[in-house]
Amino acid sequence: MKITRRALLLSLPFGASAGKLLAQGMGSRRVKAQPKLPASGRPFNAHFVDVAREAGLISPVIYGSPTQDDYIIESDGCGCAFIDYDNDGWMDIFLLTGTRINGAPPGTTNRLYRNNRDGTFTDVTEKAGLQRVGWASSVCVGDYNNDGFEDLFCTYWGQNALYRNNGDGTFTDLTKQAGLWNEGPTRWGAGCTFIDYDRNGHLDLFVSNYLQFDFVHVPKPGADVNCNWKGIPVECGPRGLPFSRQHLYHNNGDGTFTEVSERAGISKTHENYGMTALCADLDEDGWPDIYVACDSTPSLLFMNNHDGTFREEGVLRGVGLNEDGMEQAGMGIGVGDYNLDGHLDLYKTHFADDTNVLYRNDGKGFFDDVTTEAHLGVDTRFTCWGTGIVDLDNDGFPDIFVVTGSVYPRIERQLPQYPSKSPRQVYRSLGNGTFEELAAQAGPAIVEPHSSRGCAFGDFDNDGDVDVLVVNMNEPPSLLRNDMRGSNHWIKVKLIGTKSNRSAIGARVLVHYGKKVQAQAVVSQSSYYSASDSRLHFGLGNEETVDIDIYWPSGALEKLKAVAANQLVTIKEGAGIIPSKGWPATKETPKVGGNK
Amino acid sequence: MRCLKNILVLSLAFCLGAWASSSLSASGTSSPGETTILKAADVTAMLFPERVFYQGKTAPTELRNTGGVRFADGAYFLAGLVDSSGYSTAVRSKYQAYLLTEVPVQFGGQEVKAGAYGAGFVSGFFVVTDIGAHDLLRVPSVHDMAIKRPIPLQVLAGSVAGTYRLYRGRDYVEFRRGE
Repeated sequence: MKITRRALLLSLPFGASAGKLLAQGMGSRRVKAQPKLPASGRPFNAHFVDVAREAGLISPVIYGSPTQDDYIIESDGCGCAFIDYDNDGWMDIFLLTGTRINGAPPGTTNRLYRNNRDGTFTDVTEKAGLQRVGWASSVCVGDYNNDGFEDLFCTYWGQNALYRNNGDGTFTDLTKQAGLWNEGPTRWGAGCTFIDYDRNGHLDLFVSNYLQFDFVHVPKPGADVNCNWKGIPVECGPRGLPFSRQHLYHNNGDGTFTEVSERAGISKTHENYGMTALCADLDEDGWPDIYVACDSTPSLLFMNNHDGTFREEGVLRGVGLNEDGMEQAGMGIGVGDYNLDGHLDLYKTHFADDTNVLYRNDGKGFFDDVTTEAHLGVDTRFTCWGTGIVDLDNDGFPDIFVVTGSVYPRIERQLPQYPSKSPRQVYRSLGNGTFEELAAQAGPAIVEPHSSRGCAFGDFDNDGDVDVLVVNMNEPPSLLRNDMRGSNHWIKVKLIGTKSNRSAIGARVLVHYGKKVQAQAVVSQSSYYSASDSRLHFGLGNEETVDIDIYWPSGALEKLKAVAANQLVTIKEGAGIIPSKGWPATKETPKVGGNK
Repeated sequence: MRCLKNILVLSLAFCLGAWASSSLSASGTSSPGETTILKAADVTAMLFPERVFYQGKTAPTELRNTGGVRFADGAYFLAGLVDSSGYSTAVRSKYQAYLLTEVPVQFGGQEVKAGAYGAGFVSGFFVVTDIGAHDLLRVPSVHDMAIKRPIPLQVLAGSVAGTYRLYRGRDYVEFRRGE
């Protein structure tokens, strides 16, 4: 009769053996928010202002009806990316877009904006060959052909797209030629991440799929009891709609890919609504693992077996469910080292009436839900999407940033406590493992309500802090410029792989400053369906030098000592520090803080 | 010849018995005479319905979040989470799971007869309702902070022989077979 934990967990049907799921409605635990502690009264040096309009980001991201969604495909939205597509050292912007049931307004398209290096951007979509309209989901960035230029992969309900960066300002859609064209029934591509899972120096590709959807078979809102939320008719799903599967494609090294989902053990799990995908070495064994936030079902953690296969251990390792053993509506993923123990922790966003969850990594890839002890359960009002564990104020303690927005735009008329548009959330680290929620104190852009989805983190103006790009549904995006005050120091680390994949995706970096150590990872996708600045940004507080340990995806370990703060260091695998592109500051002429 | 015939009959009976036994094993059920705790992998759609009726509507169940007990005489007690998101807030608060029992069971000393019920954990209590959403019993539940890696629903052995715990995450109620 005795059931060990391991035996029990291994017997659970979260893999291949469970019965059909026929439930309905977004997952919500209906939990009460944790009481807020008294305000710390500490100043917060980051200050966010939305400068999208001044920067020239004026075209709206079209996604479904602005007032009334009839299908779930209208509500999940899409992601965005900070990508330096022209290698000039300045972050450019790529924004996905959706469409509408009755057709998108004229001019709707994905958009690529080139950074003019003066705080503004120029729309170069047409010249770049990136025009497309459709139900886009996510974007991941990586140099899959190791030619020195970052490429794009975009997921869709419909055909996904692989865009090769030609290195001359243009991209070519090589989806078919690369073997990534889907000849079967329509899939709803969701998360994606480049990953060199076999450490051969070529980026492979993982794609999560959300669910099986078509306009013929999915009922309309209120069609039956399952298409309701709190007794009000809403779009159907994800529960009640058929599951889809996750896919893994092996890079053949010649510009083509071969699907290996079955051989690699990825397709064994098929009862999850997969969303954002993250590749990182979470158990620190030198091999990249894959974490997939799943909506209304247990989230997935594929552990790398070092032989081309994976084993799924999300529940076993504590990141499939929350502390109370509950499934949550996993949307976005943040990765970082909130407690400065040198290990990569995870933060996952969820639906309204539930908490987002912070998972603390023990360094061996086992996690504990520490949401409550970190005082992060204080706000459950909004549905949360894009997120990051990022040091917003350069004080050396990573903070947490979240964007929010309802999936039910019409429901606020009957339930005003669930507004269609809602503010951003900033959780400032207090440096002791706990956080404090800030609002206007973090700048006017934090309290402005939008129905947001993806967001990407990056330093678009190269001033030594973290800015945020946000996708807003049926509105132009937000570009939150961080007008930082104070004199905190920082350092950015850009990696270029040689034996490893050139993007160094999967690398883990430890930066030692003072008595602290902070881990970060080079990832291809995180937040919600988005890709952030690949230059890792570390706030340093008062520290003026750092030591850097680089765990390259190839398995090599490189250590750098006494590197000066307030600069971007570009490190080439095996060659050490090389000159950085596009960066005005050097260690001889330090630029302190991130003052405007 | 008669001896050979008997051997053939016995062999056939043995094979049939072995086949039947392997079929039971494959479905995760136990042999007669042994009480078995059922995990979700054991509770197939043959045992637990994929949609259930409650207060004028049907709603889907979550077979991946089910559990139960198969008593020594073959009688079942089964529990499974229901997606009640389509119900009003008042109903959803207490209608989280569906219970199917072929024998009376006692929760906290209060007994429900064989039948189909709604159930839920509400503010420190375990509530059982009939399928019309009328309360039948309400007994204190326990919040188990010691359990490692809780899951949405499971049945585990109770504190003494013949008792069982129905868990919803960290909350549980102890039950036993009734009279």
